[in-house]
Amino acid sequence: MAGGYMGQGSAKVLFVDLSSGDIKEELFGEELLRKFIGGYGLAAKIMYDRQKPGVDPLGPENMLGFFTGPLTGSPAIIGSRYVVVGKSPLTGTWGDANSGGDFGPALKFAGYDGVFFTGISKKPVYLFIDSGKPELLDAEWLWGKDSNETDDMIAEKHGSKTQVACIGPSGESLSLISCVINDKGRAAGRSGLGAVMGSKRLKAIAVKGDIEVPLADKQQASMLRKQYLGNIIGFGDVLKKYGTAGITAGASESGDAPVKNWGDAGSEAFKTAAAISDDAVIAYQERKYACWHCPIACGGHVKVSSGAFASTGHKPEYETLGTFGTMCLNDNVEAIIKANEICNRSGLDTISAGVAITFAIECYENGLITKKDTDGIELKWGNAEAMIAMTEKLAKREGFGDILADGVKIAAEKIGKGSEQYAIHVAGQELPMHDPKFTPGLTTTYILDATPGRHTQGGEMVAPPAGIDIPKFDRQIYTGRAQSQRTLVNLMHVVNAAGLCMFGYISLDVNSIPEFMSAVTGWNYTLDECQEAGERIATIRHAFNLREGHNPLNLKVPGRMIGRPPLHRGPLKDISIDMETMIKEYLELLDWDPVTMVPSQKSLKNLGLDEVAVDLEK
Amino acid sequence: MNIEIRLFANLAELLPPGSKNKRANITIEDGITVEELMHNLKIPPNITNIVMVNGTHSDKKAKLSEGDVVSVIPPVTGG
Repeated sequence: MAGGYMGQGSAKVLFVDLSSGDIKEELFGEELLRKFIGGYGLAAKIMYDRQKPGVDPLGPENMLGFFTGPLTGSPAIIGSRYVVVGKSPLTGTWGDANSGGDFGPALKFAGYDGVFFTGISKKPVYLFIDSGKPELLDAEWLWGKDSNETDDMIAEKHGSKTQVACIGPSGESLSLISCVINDKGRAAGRSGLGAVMGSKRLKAIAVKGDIEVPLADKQQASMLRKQYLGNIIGFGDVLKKYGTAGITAGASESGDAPVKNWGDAGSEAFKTAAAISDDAVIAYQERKYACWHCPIACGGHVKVSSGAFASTGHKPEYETLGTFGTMCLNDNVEAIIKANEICNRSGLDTISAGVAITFAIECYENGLITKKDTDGIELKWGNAEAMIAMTEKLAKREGFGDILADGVKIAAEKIGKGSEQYAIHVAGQELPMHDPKFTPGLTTTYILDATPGRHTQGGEMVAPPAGIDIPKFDRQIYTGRAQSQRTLVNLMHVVNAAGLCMFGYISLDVNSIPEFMSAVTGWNYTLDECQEAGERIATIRHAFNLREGHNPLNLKVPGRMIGRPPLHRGPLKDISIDMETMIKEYLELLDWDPVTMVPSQKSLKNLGLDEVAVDLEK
Repeated sequence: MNIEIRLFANLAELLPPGSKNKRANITIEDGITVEELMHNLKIPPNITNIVMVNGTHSDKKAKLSEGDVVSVIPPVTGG
């Protein structure tokens, strides 16, 4: 029997109509699963088929999904991930967000590969699934509680083994930069999907159960795990010791990390990056933790015992150390730990929230807003107290915080006065802490991925996985990169759809992917088949966007992202990215129209996307 | 001649004992290259580390001068 899926060789998906309260199960079989794998691949196919274009992302017709992959909860390294999907209210495009912890495997152990929600509940509810039995329960007693409180209260009611994914007050108040939190501090951060959940009055999903994930060849899967466990070196060592906090100082030095709202880069721009990196962060770490069955254990719990920023919670990730650190010129690590906790409890994406605060600082420093606008808070570069005070207001949608709570694009529209020059986003999604002037392939990823402005969607990275021949490019040569970009994008989509963590993917030989897929599912995957599935998944997400009227080529790209004008100093001095050449070559390679971005009929049929070919021909 | 060496993330373990803030002032032979310096510091050669001299990205073959600041950053990415 095929393994990896909870429906005896099929993916078992729950469909919950929050308007009527109806709950149904459906199975999706081998043919579909071999094409779309699982995770956001399967979810995108279902949504493409069932959700018409043009729905209000905060309305009843938007489908909100929680999906695992076939390797979630399996011996694969690292099978800990799940995704949240839906039409994004932040960007108006396909939206997805990825998270680790224990929730993803727990959803499978509760009996399901995925859950879709439609409709809007009349009152706050949560979905509780106990060993294959789902029920919608009243959540009025949880409404208004932060994500930690929600998790604790549900666990008290249903037992300590219950795993929870929920929204906090920011999702309830429909902040477009709100997110879904699981495990009291892991975040499915991007795309504003916390607001979609809040719009449905869905407070949480709570799951428990001990149903085994079937494995087609348990012995082979276990053998592969043993074999690959010994191979996690290099980058894995940094993660083991520090988590992603280990890279901050190096990223600030190299130009990978944007500084001062993308207006600067390098150690001359931010001299004290060591204060918010590696040892300086883990000085506050009380204990490490691992996501489900992860051998790296990059997570940690930290505590600031006293002082203005006393708090306890999860160790900040690199992105958070960037957005509340290098971007704000803040070197107070305790303040960043506090900001992280505010965002996690309220259910805010720390990338978007930190960028929103940074935007506000630059507006303030340039006189576009004053103390009168900011409720007396002096938003200056490096002012940690002000940064925290405004983050708290953003989380509560209080005063000027309400202006920032829907992201920088909307904030700039409300402020006017030329503030849009300080709003660093693509299609409304705030950019992450990896500068394409340092890693040029990110230009293509940030603009062309169906979820714009994300760094976890493949393409060139600082280092590719082993076992794959990727040439080393001169950073400032923008031609000839398309094939590598395509390979790395396709692989990442398979990693994401399968339920694997990208840190395992980077740390191991890439051939581990088809090997684990074959051992777990029993279907004989090759690396080529994986790559083809990845391209299919990328294409169907893109097709969803085309039907929504989204053409990435029409996006306004922030000049600071691509060096127009170039920086005048530092490691990225004088660099302007030839974005047009990179995109042109990529579209040529994919055989997508260079103006409309519509994939050719031939490319769609080659991928087995005949239904998309018919739709897009109209 | 004297230079400042900055090693990041796990590479910092290769700095001389007593080094602080992931950097150290060290004395090296006149005219050696970055690559030779990395060899002397026992930085693994097969990893595509990011190399910078005086805040600018540099080739490993570059010859060093008195007072240079050399940064070596392992190829790591964050989330």
